Amino acid sequence: MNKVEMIAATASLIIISCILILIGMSTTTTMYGNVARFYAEKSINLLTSANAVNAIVWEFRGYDTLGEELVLIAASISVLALLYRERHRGKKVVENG
Amino acid sequence: MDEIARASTRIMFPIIMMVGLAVALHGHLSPGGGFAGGVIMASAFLLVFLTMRENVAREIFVEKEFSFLETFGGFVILLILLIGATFRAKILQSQHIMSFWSGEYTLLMNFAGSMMVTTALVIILWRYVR
Repeated sequence: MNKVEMIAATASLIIISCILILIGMSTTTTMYGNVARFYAEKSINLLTSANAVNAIVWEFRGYDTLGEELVLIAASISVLALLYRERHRGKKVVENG
Repeated sequence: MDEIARASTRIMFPIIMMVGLAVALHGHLSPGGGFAGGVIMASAFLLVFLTMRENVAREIFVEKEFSFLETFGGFVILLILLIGATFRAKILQSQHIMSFWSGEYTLLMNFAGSMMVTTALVIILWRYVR
């Protein structure tokens, strides 16, 4: 597969997905159902939180956010493991240099 | 780095830390939150790592403390998610809309989350700078 064919394949994929999204938007009456209204109402009445985005991220979807934070922890651990070996290979570790 | 950058870092570091903490702690009232505040606080540490001398930066960055705070924030969030629902009614009674003490556990979770983001980013940045 050469470069032109790959560009053509990507462009056709984007166009087809855009058409499918437009068809889906035109057939349903409300795009997100009643979920958006539920969050907007409950964040004030149930949780007394003024910022609905923060209420969704930290309260309604708390486990999801915990998973996001664990991704950061995994990234920091992997950076520690990879770059430590890279930096100190064949060298003596000097602490207070 | 030269002496001007060091002097301005000494002035700017506490200011940037306070801005980040304010963004994190007012996440339930204004735009921002744990992630944004944590990134601002990590940028203050990046400024120190770039400008200060090696031994000063090593005094500020202690890897054990930072990794402890990282996991501690995760445990706080997990604890609130697991057993927070039992104290829900009492906490909601004491809270008022649009005041600082509102939004159920969002305040505590924003603080713990900003701690996690800050420490994780500082550990990553330290490895890349030094």
